[in-house]
Amino acid sequence: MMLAISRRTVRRSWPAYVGAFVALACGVVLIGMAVTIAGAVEETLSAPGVTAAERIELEDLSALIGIMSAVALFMALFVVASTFGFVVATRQRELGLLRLVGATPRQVRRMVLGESAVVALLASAAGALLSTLLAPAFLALLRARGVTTLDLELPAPWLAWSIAVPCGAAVALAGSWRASKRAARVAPSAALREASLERRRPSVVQILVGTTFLLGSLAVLPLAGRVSPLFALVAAVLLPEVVVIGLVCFGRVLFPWLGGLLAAPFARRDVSARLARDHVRTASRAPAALAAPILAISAIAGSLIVTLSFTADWTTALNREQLHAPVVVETGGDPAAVDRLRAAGVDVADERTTLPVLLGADASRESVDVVDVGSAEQARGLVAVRGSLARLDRGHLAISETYATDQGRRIGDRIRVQIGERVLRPRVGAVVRDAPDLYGEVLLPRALVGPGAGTVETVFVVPGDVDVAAALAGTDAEVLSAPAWIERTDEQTRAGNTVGLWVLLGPSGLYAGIAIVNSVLIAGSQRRAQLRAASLLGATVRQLRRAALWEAGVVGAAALLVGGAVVAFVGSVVRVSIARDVGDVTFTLPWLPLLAIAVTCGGLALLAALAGSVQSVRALRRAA
Amino acid sequence: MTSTQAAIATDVAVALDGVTRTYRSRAGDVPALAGVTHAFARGSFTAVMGPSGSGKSTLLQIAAGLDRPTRGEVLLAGRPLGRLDETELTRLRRTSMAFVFQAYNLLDALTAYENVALPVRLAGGRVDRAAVLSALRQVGLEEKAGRRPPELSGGQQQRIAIARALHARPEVLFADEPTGALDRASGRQVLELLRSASDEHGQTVVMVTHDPLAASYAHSTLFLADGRVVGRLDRADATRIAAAMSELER
Repeated sequence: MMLAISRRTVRRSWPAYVGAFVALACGVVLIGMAVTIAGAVEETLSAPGVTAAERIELEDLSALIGIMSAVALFMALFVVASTFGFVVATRQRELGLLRLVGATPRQVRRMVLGESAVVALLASAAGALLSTLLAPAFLALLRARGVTTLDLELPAPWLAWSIAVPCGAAVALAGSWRASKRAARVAPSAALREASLERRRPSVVQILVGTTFLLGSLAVLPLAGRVSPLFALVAAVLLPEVVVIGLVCFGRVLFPWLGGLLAAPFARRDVSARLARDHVRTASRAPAALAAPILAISAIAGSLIVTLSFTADWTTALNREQLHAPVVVETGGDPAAVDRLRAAGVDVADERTTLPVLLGADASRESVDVVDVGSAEQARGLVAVRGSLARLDRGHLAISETYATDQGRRIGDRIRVQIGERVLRPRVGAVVRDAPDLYGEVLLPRALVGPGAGTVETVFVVPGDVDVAAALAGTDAEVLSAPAWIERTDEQTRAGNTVGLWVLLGPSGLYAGIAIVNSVLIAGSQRRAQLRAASLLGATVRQLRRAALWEAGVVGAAALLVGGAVVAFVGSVVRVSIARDVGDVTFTLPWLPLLAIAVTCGGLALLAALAGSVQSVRALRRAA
Repeated sequence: MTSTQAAIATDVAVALDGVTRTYRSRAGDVPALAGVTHAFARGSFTAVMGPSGSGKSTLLQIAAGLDRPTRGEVLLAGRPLGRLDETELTRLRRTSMAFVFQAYNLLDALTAYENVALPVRLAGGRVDRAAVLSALRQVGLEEKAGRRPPELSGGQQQRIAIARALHARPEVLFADEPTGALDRASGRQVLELLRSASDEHGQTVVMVTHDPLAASYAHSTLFLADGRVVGRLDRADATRIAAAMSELER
């Protein structure tokens, strides 16, 4: 019975559910694709003749898509929760009426969950079909872009459906759970009330969670000076989420207050701004729902952008501090270049040699550096912070500070290294300073590995009297001065960061967009009765439209302001940690991407407000 | 049970016994009802009148178990409502009460037919199609069975709500300003239907109104002022009721 009512409700008032539908369907598409690709990778990997490099490439690919779809589903949860929160809030009288004619609280709850089930069913079906259609196209795109050269074999579509559809259903259920509980608490007398005041005070659970999360994040600040920059980097990826959850718990108090404050200077001059300010201050649900996705995406994306930029600043500063060789040669994979350099008689030719190995007890596939300790000390400023470089011989290796912290390794610990069929068990002889552009996290001395193993990509050269460029003429190698090489590495790091950001933040940005548009549109439809009253009192269509824009504008600005504060907080944590590690470092603030986030969020909110007000005014005219 | 209590249980549909309801506000406690005792006899049609803020709507909500009294007791067919939890109260409401309001009586997503059948469905019962259509016929809207509320006029919506009450055959029908938003002809139709629910089907009707003409359709009119019952007129016409109201509002 309740499902029949749910079905009809969704069929009649579907615009309110569009946001939840789109978010869920996108999530199901991404999960479906991830499963399909993972299945294809699995099948291809078991085929004979797949090289190690191809294997790593494929595993990375399926991991990346997996992370993307997990982020997408996480954001979908918020969109579904906000949609159903609104739906329940706007239907107080209807739910009260149901209770009045005899529906028990449990029946009302089942009805709301039923509505989410209807939306989930439709969205999952659409998403599953779309993912089946898109998967071959996506694989073709990967091949065309040269991401993989292998001919991936697609698994049967039911595999993707059997995982993606339950995931979509679970997210819909989890998202609507709280709203359904609230719906069950609606009193039958709600059917008699014309309007109700919205509750602003956060619940006890919200106060507890919010306070814990906010205090927990503040506690990170005094620790920032004591942790390594790479550790701070990891913390900076998680910190904004924690702060955002803490702030959202107090959203119904924070955003109406801040929005009202921002609108105050305009309220005196413009009656539309005054209407907007008064509405923002009294209606807590709509401002909080609009602010949450803007805060989330601006804080998370902004923090990530700033952190990555600061990290690039850090590695560049490290390069400047440690790179003693005045010339750097990029070999371009040409073995002749290496041979010629060796023969040319330069003072130092410090080769950065990498070697794929199976590392540690779990034999994970990793790439390690093979170093000639003496020349690395001279050219790359290799220095031990614990232990001694002199110990590096047939029985010892070196690890970076971050690797030592992450893996909990100390001087004297044994680490298993498998090169091809050969298994070695050297001890840790030295812990060296982090310098990700100059060497990796694990360094094997040449004496341990033996001559010839590994590929040389870069050579750090102290030329003496030799003209390096002339010596390498006719090879694929490129000769750069140290400052030029540092600058180019910096550019490459930043370009790589941008690609990673797009892949990871693309879907979350899409979701934030859906959430922003969704909340503005639903809040607009909720406000029609008030618009009608305002228009009866003599407000013109223009004034009403301006009021809607003012409202979205001040709430968006409030959310961006708080988001900016979160970015500043996270940025300062990273900054303190980096400044402790290297003395001379210039921090670059990537203003352009930060501004782009702010403009996109604000623009989306204003556009949605405009669309919503046009829709409301049209509805008003129809009613008149 | 004593013989007097048994007699009350059979002759009285709803009884209010010393009911007081106060609302908390920043300015202090505001009394909405101050010790109301009244028995609504089975099969009677009672209008409740009084100036704004006299406690009419509070009385209706407390009598229907939608609100709980601060002090005192409400008995439905001899059964005290105060001791029932939310679900028990809902079940009781489902089988024993029906409601008609000034506006917003129906679910927009359901057709007229489905709205009428809803209480029976919620109770898990089987819907007798002929009985639902007969209820719609009694209010003159059988041909509108497939329409949804937004496609109907205010008066028609009100009549559908009455059809729902007739179909479920509850003991008591509560109406809050049921003709408040209707034109005179539609209002008369609605009042005649309420009267026939009481006269022909033996249902008890309690109706809050501010319109003396509407009150004149009832068997008796109860006057409230400042949360107390201050008077009662039986089988009075609109003029007498209006005169009594003017006296109260003076």
